[in-house]
Amino acid sequence: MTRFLTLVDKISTALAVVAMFLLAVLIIDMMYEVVSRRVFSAPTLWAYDIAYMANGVGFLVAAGYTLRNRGHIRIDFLSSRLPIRSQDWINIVVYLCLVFPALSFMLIGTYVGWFEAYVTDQLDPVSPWKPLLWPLFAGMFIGVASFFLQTIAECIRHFRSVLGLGVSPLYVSEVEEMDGPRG
Amino acid sequence: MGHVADISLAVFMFPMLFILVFAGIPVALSLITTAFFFGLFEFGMNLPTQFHSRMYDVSSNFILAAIPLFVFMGAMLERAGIAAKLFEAIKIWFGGFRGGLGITTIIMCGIFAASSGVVGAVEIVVGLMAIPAMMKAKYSKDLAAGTVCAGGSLGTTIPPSVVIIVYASITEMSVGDLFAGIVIPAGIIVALFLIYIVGRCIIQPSAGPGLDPAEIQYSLGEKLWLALTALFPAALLVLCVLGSIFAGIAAPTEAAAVGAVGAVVLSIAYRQFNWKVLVEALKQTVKITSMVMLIVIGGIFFASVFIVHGGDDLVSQVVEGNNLGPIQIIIVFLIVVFILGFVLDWISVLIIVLPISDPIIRAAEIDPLWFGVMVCIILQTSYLTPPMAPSIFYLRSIAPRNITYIDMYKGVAPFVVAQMITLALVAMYPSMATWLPDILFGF
Repeated sequence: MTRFLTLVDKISTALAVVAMFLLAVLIIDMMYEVVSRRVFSAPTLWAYDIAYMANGVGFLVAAGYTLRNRGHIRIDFLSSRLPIRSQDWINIVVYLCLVFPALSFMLIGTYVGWFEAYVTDQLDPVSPWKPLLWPLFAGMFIGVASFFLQTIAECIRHFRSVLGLGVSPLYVSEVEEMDGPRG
Repeated sequence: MGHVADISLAVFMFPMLFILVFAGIPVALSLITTAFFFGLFEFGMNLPTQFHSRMYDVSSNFILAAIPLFVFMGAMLERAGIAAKLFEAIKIWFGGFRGGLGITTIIMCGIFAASSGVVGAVEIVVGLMAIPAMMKAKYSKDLAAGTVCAGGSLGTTIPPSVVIIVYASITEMSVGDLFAGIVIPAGIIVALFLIYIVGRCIIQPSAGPGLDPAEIQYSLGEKLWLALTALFPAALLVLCVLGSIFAGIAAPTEAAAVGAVGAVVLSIAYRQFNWKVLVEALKQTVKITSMVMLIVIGGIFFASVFIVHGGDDLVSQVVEGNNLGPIQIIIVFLIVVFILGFVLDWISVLIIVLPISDPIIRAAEIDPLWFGVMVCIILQTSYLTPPMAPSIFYLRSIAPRNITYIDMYKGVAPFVVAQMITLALVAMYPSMATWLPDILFGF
């Protein structure tokens, strides 16, 4: 079981690296556009599309990693007063009854969207560059799938915590602290 | 009647959302699952397709791509040690005066907020330097605590703020308009903060003594050199980013990319750049962006299901049924934002309130720009106002034990008053929000 959990963590981390790479692409791509349009008066056709695709895929594939590292905001001033065991149970119930069904629907939606775009060669309807849409949709599907995997792993961790087999993922100390905005 | 049943369903969406949120479920997942649960009734097996097209709306939004760029710019500057340099550079100019460290902190927060745009980050970074310095100079604890909280809150309003980018993309307004609209009110806020600090220290000299001259003994040449190397490049970077948006040269996303590259260049110039710094900045950015954007997705799911269930009609019926005039509508929404801001993070507040308020504001012919500026000010006030103030929770995490909650509550109170004065001014004189966008982008 722990091997599965480690594997999921590795996948999430690998995808976070992909997201970091996409962020670098976004920066360079936009900078290239600014320079080529303002300095050389030669705007590109593709920079805008690359930018939104890099951002649109990047944040989704990093969602699992962010969950693992407690980066997704929780409003816990009430719930943190409960015993950890109760908090674990709340999370387990919500994961099983709501999160997994909701993410299944998102997974099906992004898969169908990708599949249809792929077989029909669907193009971006507004862009002059008219890029194929399926790579974006494939990225969205991968993002949702990996996030789903990480939620399953988190749910298992909550179970293990309840059974006394491990630490609750709510209070893991070895993962780095989130230094971003909470308020 | 099916329609009546639909409306009653919309009514239950908020209770479910708040139960999940306060049960400690991540906000993004609370939004997504509530939308899923209620969406099932309306869409059934078409729900996956609905989810996909809403996700496509968010993923293909070019404006939202500015968020990671601005976050990265701030993360990079933070890691390039620019905050410490700025603090030193401003301190040697103002430190000798009474209340000088307070002035330094506010100015520093103003500049750093403009270069980071991330709420909370500013307060931590600045607080870690300013609190020890002010304690050492024997500032009264409430003034020190209040100054850092107030300075940290500037990240909400001072452009380029991520708050405003999200605001603009939900309401389909121009980022440039909103950035320009908030400039004058933000200036007034900073001015009032400074007036309070200086005034307090004149009346009560022991509250904020000037620094020992020996501590800031620099020749004029050195002072100028520090200003030139520390203050000037950061200020220039911010001016370039905002200036290019205001001058209409660059889209916000492009300007953000220039800022991101500028931050890297600055860190290279300060010899702080290395692979580790870059990776850390990228990693932090990816996490923050993922958090923000997933809430945006959840919020859009939630809003679209709420609207399908007739929730927006319901709200407008309440507004019409009570014969609310424009002013009452504004007051009601501002109070809602203010109260939600106590318990929720800023992005959840916007994502929950705006899809409902925006159509009503527009239908009542209230200037959406004016309203937006007031929402940003009230969000910032909410961030500051005890007892449920995020700013105080941040400060608690970095302040020494001997600064108590009472010190903090007392400390932020005058700054909250400054916020309220600004809000009242903008409410009375809408041109404070609309004048600058008008002359910049013209109509």
